Amino acid sequence: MPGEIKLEKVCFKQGKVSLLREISFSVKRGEILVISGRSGEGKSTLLEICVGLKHPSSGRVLWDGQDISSFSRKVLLEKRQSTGYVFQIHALISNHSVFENIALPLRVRSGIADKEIEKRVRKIMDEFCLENIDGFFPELLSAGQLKTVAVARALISEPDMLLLDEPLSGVDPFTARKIMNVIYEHQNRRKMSVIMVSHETDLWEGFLPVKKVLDKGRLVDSSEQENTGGEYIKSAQVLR
Amino acid sequence: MTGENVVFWINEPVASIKLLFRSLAACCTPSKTAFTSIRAQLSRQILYTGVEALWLVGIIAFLCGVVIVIQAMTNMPRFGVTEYFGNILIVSVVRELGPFFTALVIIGRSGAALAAHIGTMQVNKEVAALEVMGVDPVRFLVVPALAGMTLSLVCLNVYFDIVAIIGGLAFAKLTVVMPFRIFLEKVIQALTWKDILISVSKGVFFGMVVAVISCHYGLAVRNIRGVPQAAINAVVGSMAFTVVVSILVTLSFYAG
Repeated sequence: MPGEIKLEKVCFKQGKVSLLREISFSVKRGEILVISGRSGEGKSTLLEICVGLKHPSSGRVLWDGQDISSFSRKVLLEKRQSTGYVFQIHALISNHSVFENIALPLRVRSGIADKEIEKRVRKIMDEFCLENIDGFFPELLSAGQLKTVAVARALISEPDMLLLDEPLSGVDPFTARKIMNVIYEHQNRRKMSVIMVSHETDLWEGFLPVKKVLDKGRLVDSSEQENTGGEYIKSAQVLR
Repeated sequence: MTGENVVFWINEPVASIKLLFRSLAACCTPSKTAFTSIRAQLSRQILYTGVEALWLVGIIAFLCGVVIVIQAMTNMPRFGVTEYFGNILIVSVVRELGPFFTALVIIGRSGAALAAHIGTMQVNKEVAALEVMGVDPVRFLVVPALAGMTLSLVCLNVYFDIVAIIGGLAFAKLTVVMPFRIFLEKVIQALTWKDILISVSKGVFFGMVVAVISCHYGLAVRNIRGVPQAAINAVVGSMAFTVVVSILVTLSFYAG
């Protein structure tokens, strides 16, 4: 089944600093990986490497067993059409309305009629309660609305792979619950492979997410961090 | 000039030319995106670059026509070549000043704005968002800018020529140094298809130069500090290349 992502010994250097060291994991279709860690550890960079926005210094990223560095640009763009990605900042197209932002991933795909696009966009806007702001431009939206639109845009194309970079940061608890409920519904229905960067590691109730912590460039199991008294886990527990 | 500067002045034109070829290749391989989302981008580009610049180009063109006629009427009788009034207006406005002044207006108004806009999109991860949606930023951002700017510049160029000639004629009529009908006849006699072709060619090439260079510097932005620098580089680069292209086009028409 398409949607499997695998990282093999991925390293990434920013200047002379080794940000990521020999990161390896595999997320199969239907599986969920939640990555947490301190700010500046390279979580967003790791997600960007997963979709080929950044290139690792060494190691490989495989989609369905194929090394993405071997894809031509055209193939990579085509494959990305079955990927949903939510950036840490909303990254909505500033001169497009909410409706057009959500419709954009469908417009790229050939063979979808405008009527069908409108129907699908209206449906997902309905799921996220965005009907009233469909004509608004991003500058008029609140942080929570921006994140909600970004998640709707990521899900509209029914992706095989969903990558979420702190999708709930700056979002009020009510909206956060709403966003997660829609994501749960889509996950139940479509069984995507999900990689989520979040400090909220207990979000995926009813699912069995793999939880890992990015610590000093290495990806370790959260249980392992807990046992060894890792700083990030200890701080998170204190805050709770 | 340091070695770094030399590398910069070699790399930048090469990168811009590469971007131009990628854009032209994207134009030649139409996809559904080209006719839906890009359509809106193209309309916006034509509105900002062409329609909204009409008044400014109009004023500059009118004054340019007037100034040329003043200079011609002041100086040409001294050399006994008053029969070439029409030629001087056509040669200076249609062949050289029209395309160049229009390009300068577009560089200052739209080139800088385009570079800053795309640069801001880079900083806000909008370009990265397009990438992960499978949208080619060249097709989505550069192609509409290229088409919109080129079309706008050609149209503005023709508009400039017409308004400048009207300005010259109006001034000639007011001053009555030469009968208006004779002046008009001389202008029409002086205008050839070659002049129109050179003017339109320059419009096309200048439009492409400004669009590609502005997009190139916009896409090269990596952080917020780079946005104003991208606008400056777009203006300086576009001006430099517009002069070079202008010389090349003129040479290709008149050399030999």
